[in-house]
Amino acid sequence: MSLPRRLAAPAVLTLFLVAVFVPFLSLLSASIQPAGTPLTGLEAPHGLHLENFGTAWSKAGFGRLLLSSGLVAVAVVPASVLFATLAGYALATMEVPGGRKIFGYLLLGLALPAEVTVIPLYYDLRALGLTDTRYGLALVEIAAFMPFGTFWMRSHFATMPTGLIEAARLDGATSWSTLWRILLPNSRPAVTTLGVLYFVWCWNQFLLPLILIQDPARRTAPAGLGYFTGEYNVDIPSLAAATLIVIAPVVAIYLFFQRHFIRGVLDGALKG
Amino acid sequence: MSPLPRTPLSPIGRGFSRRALLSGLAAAGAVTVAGCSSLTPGSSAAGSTASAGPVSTAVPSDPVTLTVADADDTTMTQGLLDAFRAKYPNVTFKRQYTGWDDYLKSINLTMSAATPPDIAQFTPGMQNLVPGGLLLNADGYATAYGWSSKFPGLDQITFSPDGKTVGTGSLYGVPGGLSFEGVYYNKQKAARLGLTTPAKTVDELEAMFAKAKAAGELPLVVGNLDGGLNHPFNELLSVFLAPADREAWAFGHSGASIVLPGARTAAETIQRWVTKGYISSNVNGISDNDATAAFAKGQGVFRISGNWAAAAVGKGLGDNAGYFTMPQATADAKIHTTGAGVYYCVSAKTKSAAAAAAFLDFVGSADAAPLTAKAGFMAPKADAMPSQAGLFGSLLTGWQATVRDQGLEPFIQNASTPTMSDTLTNALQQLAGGKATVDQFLALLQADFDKYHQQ
Repeated sequence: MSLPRRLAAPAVLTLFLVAVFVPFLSLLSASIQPAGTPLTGLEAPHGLHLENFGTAWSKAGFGRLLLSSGLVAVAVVPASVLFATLAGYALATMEVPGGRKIFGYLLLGLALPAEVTVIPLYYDLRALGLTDTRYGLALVEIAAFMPFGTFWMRSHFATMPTGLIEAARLDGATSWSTLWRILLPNSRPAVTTLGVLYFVWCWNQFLLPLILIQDPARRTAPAGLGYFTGEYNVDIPSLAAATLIVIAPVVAIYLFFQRHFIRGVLDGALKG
Repeated sequence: MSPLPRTPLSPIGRGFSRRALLSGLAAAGAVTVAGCSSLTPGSSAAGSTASAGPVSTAVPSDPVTLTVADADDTTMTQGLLDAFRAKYPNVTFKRQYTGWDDYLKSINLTMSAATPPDIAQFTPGMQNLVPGGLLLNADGYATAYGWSSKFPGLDQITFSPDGKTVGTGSLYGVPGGLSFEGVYYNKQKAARLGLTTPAKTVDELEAMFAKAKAAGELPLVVGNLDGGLNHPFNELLSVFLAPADREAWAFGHSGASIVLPGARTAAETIQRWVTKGYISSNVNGISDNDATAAFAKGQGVFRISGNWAAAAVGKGLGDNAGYFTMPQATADAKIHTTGAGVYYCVSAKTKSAAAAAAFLDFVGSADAAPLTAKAGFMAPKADAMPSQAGLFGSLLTGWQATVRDQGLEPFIQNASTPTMSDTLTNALQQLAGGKATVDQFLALLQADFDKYHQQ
């Protein structure tokens, strides 16, 4: 291989690394500037103002907001993964009456922006007395995540060798035990990836909590970021510190499941 | 009406990026609120003339808890609530603060909830709640308390029963703190360039721009990514457009037009400032907030903005921060400038309207004025504001002169139509980018106006 070709891959990787790291660096450096400083770009820090994290935490009440986010995620992620798995399994392996239509209808949900549905949802939940509650928010998120999850799990099950399912049937396994004992143990990367994606979406969900929950103290973590955005002024250092607080759990979860996540994504690619 | 000046609701500062979504939500909310309020359980279908309970100026003596929703990131709202509670210990407040952008998106739906906040900061778009009877008609309290002589700018929160026309109909709230616009300048650079401030006419100001430009300085710092060019444009409209024409258009009176010689002059001035390089050529790529930050750091010589920018400018420039009221067309003309305010309104569903009204009345008192002033706003009771030195002293002098000349005029984008903020931003970006002529610019604004008011 010639020298330029050998350098190509590292060069491209470096380019992407820079593209990712420079904005992040700017966020990091902004978060340690004195609170309330007007910032216009990437700047060298004026001292190390770690107290920003403390004040951001207490001012916006992140203790309660993160608890809220955590409760919603704990309710949403397992339920969505379970429902998406069941629906995907049914649509991929069984002759569901009108299955294709149901699948098409679900795909339509992928194309529908959340902004369009949020106001009707608000009135629906209000009629049920579920506005201003975390249950209501969790239900809405589970429903909103179904289209992608079903699509994802259906394509996953569809790519599993049909021989595996047939062999299980011949051995007398019911469709229930085929799923739980044969297919799922071989689906860990796909399920983990879906779970991580769901967690990230659920955590980053902003518009739904904002509209469906009126009491700011009961909203989720991203809603706390608005606390530092005033009508005319933005406290960028505090906002940057708050952003780091909000993304920390997502980064932690991602790092923890990183290997599964990448395997899950690649599995689909290889099996096509 | 009071002898004091009129004020509009709230200018577009930053946060324009989510405006498209916001106006969509507001519009959808309006339709749904109007359509569903009598059908949906838990929503009271009070007519727009009803007010909750008998009107009384007596503050209830039994324990009352009021929920207050606001987007006021200054110390004003919290300070006023604390001071009121100190006076009436039986009244407890539960304050629900939401950042400005998020507040605009969610407040209309929040007010339509089964148990909405008792008191809310009034923001543009909330007039959509009027036809659904979700805001408390405060006419009774206004008469009982004599608000018309206590508050300037009440016509800004007075709406026709359909909520479409401002300034006529019933009163729905009062202003807590008022704000207005003027010219900030960098004293050090002005001295070095040999500029004699204050500029008394727009021509004088423009001559100073030319001098600054010749010396290699950026004359006027503007950020128009989110429509910040509206601040100079609104100010120039105040200067060149007749107040009656300005008001008719800004308040959405039917048949009003902005295609007038005065507005033409204002738009031509903006266009000329861009062409001559008095405003930077990348103006459409800078946010309003970043422009304030850059000016506070010493970039440029002048900046046209409101008193809300005073804290940032003063912090950045220190003793070099200067301020004067907007120069007029001629040196002997009365002051005309553009301003807004933080208004409070009351939910029609509140169980303690008397306590809420007592708070609204307290906001205009002499006790409240120092708290309002401390937060950087102009108090409704202007003569009770404590005197200050430096930049804030110049602002106070400017405010008192503006009040004396009754020169405060509404921002054109707040109440003319629900979509005018977006339209104005878009039109100003086209004007500054050289994509629209002055005629096309004014036609864009008028088209939005006609579309809404001819429905």
